[in-house]
Amino acid sequence: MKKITLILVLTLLSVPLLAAQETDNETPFYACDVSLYDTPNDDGISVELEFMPANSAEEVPQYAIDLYIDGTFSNTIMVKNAGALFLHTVPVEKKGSIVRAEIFAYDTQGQRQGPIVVKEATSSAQWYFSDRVGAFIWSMAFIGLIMVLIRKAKRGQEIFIRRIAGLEAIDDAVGRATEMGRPVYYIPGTSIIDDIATLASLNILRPVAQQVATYETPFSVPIKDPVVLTVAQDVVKEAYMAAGRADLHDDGIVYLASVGQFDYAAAVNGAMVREKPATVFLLGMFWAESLMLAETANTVGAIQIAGTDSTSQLPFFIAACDYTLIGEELYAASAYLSREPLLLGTLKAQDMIKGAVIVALIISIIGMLFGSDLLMKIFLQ
Amino acid sequence: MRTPWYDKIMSLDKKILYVIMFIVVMIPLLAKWTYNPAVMPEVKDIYDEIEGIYAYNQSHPDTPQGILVSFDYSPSTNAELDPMTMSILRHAFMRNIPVITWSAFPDSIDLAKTITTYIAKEFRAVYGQDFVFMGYPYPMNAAVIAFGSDVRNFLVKDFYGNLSTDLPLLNKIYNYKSIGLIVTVSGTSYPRFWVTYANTLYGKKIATGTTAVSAAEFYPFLQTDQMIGMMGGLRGAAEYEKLVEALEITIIGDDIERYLRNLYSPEDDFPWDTKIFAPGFTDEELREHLSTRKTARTGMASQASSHFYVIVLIILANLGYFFKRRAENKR
Amino acid sequence: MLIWYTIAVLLSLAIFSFLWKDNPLYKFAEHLFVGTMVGYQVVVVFSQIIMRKIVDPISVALDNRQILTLISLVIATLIGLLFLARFSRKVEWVSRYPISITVGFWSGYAIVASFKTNILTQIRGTVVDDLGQPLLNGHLIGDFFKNPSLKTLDLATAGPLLVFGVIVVLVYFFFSVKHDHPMVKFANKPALFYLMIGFGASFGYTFMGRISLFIGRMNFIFNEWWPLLKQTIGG
Repeated sequence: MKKITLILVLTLLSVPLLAAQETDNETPFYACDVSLYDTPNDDGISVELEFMPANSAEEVPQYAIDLYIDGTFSNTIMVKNAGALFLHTVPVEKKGSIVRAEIFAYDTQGQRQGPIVVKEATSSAQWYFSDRVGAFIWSMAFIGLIMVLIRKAKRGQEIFIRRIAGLEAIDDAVGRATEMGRPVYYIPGTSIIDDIATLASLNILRPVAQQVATYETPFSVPIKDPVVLTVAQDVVKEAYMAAGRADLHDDGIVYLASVGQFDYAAAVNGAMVREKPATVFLLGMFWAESLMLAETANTVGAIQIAGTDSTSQLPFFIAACDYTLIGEELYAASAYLSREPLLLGTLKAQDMIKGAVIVALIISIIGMLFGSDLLMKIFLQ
Repeated sequence: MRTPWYDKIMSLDKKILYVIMFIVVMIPLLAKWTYNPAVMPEVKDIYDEIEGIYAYNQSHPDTPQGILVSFDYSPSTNAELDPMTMSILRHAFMRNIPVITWSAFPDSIDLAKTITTYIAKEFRAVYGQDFVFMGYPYPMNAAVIAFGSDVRNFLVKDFYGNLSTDLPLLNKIYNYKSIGLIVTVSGTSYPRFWVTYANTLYGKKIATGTTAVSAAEFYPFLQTDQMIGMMGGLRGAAEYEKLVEALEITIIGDDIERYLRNLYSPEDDFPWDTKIFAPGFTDEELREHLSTRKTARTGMASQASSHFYVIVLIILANLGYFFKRRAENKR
Repeated sequence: MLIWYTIAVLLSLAIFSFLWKDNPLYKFAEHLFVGTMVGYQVVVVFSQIIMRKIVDPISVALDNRQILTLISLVIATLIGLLFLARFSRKVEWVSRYPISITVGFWSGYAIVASFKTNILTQIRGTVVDDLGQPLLNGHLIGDFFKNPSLKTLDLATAGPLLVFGVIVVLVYFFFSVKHDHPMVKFANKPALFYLMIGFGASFGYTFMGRISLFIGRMNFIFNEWWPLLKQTIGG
């Protein structure tokens, strides 16, 4: 099968070559360089034409290219002689179409001369887009790594993840609220449950709730999305039970503040102004309401621990909050705290791919320093 | 005890700051100042690309290239983005480049339709021949793929209910092969989506008009040429507006008002469909068509003054904070 | 026309009144907005999705006797309708079929494309610029020493700064190496520096965007509504 394909490809490639040999000997005055070839990496519905005039614009002001598809005339392209390369893609109906180009020159009297060159090419479809080999290998390696590492984590093997700086602050922040006798607020973003940031935030909610329950600190979790509400209620209830303080749990801890973006912000801000929390967690996905929440928390004197993967909201959190988990740190924190095999395995695989990317980058750069882009082409195609 | 100056600054009522901001923004608008921006290379690149398509179409009259303008924004960001789509469309219609438009959000269907026909009318563009409006190509990602083979199979009818196969423009330009440039104007992450599919998979050139909020996110794509150019925020819009105005002066001349007034005569029988737009301009419309030619530059004057105001606030607040800290340390 | 413009202006002002404090006017404007949006969406879903994506293609396929297209459209519509099974607890599981089909298709379609777009091409952009010239370019640095000016300094340092930034930020987000690992320790400070500069730029741009929206509204009031009002009253 392979051989047949190879022979076919070679034959197809040689068609323009053969055509070129036939015509090259007979061009005394009117001349041009033409190549007609199958468009690489396509589904066989076009052929590329490259045309370069060899006469000067005084000798031949204009050329005409007659195109025939499968022996029937298709159209004529008029090309002004600008002394520059003219590119054209000839569309055809189906793969395997034979395209013939006949080039005519117009002399200074406007007389049509020729055909001076005739070229033929067959359109063909390629099975594989060779440009994507690199991406394919990288993707397969990445998917494979994730699967192996998740399996490893599921079997209970240790996967090391370092502690994120902001996490240390969680203990202190909850402790501070306890000392001051003021509540802790936890806002798991304003997105829906499908959002990875929301899921990561709910993973962090569990240990925070557990700690709050242990310290007997007042706790409040205002929610914007109804689906997130039900999940968060379960998470908090379980955490209180795990801490052995099911007696402290009440259904009012997790509540739906409002479903609209800015009325949610208004409702939470109002609650914060009244209850003056000592600690506010803003973890998850946020939009334009981010700064409203952070600002209010700041004015009531709360310690704020924020984290989001939204690049446009991160600057606001960094400016207004005491600790900010930047982008991926949010996921890492969630994996670290939940010890969930799926998250741990994925995080580890991401790290490894990052390492591989750095290595590929450095190798390619070194290659370029020696003036060769071969390594770059291999790694970063 | 008298409150020290820095405490006064730090505890200034927000309402006062808002009122001053309101005044700062209002004055340039009332005084009708315009701002004359220097054109950045990333904006000039889009302009040059469209000029390149014009040159290509001149040499390939049978197989012209079109542009696809995707209205990927909802009306909430139209203050920044409308001037961009208007300028791009003016440029394309002025150069007789076939234009396909659609809107990625249901709430901007009307906005996209209005702007497309509004600009088409300024250049006597004929619906179906010079431009088409495809409505809301839901789901967007499928539409982007559909353009890889034949979009007429996916969008069997245009917004007005005409069969796609009956529109002369779509019979010439129905897949990426004949699309010279995709312009995505958006306040969302849609430009990233266009780069991922239309650029990476189909090798199409992407130009973006984006809100200032998202601009920083897209610079990496400019550096790798995955996007050929970008208009960032109102400033980018103002730059493009300036380029198009210069082109308009060379092609149409100084007196746009007279040009528009004489564009349609009563005995004209132009093959337009009055469902798309009615011929002729009232005085009111004329004034509006002229003023939308410099919306972004008028806005930029207010923008500049408000930025100046905020810089002053930042410096004052930081000074206040610095002296407050110093006073506290002394105590 | 004036009436509509005036309503738009009054609604804008009602929304801005929230800056002062939450009030009934703001609430009214907001509810009005939400209500009209829902009504509008219903119309759009019907006219642009149900009609354009189901009814029209099927009727066109019928007219043209394209049997295969017709069959695939009908099958696809039926599979899509399985989503509705979510409303019943008993047959909810059926709704997983359309979900798995869409998720499966899109993951396959998206993985390679987004990997290439967001990682490979971006990394390539860290090695060479868009003209294929290496970013770590000895000639440019040499040029700076031969002819020291701001422009040559910019050209000479831009590439190396970019490469360094990409590497340190990547190392910053390495979670499987201990804190006191020399590599992480070294990258920490400069990475934060790069991140903060990035966020600062984004912050400035965001501010610009927010102000633009406000200016847009003010422009509408002073340059569209006000002249119209003057004209109507005056003339």
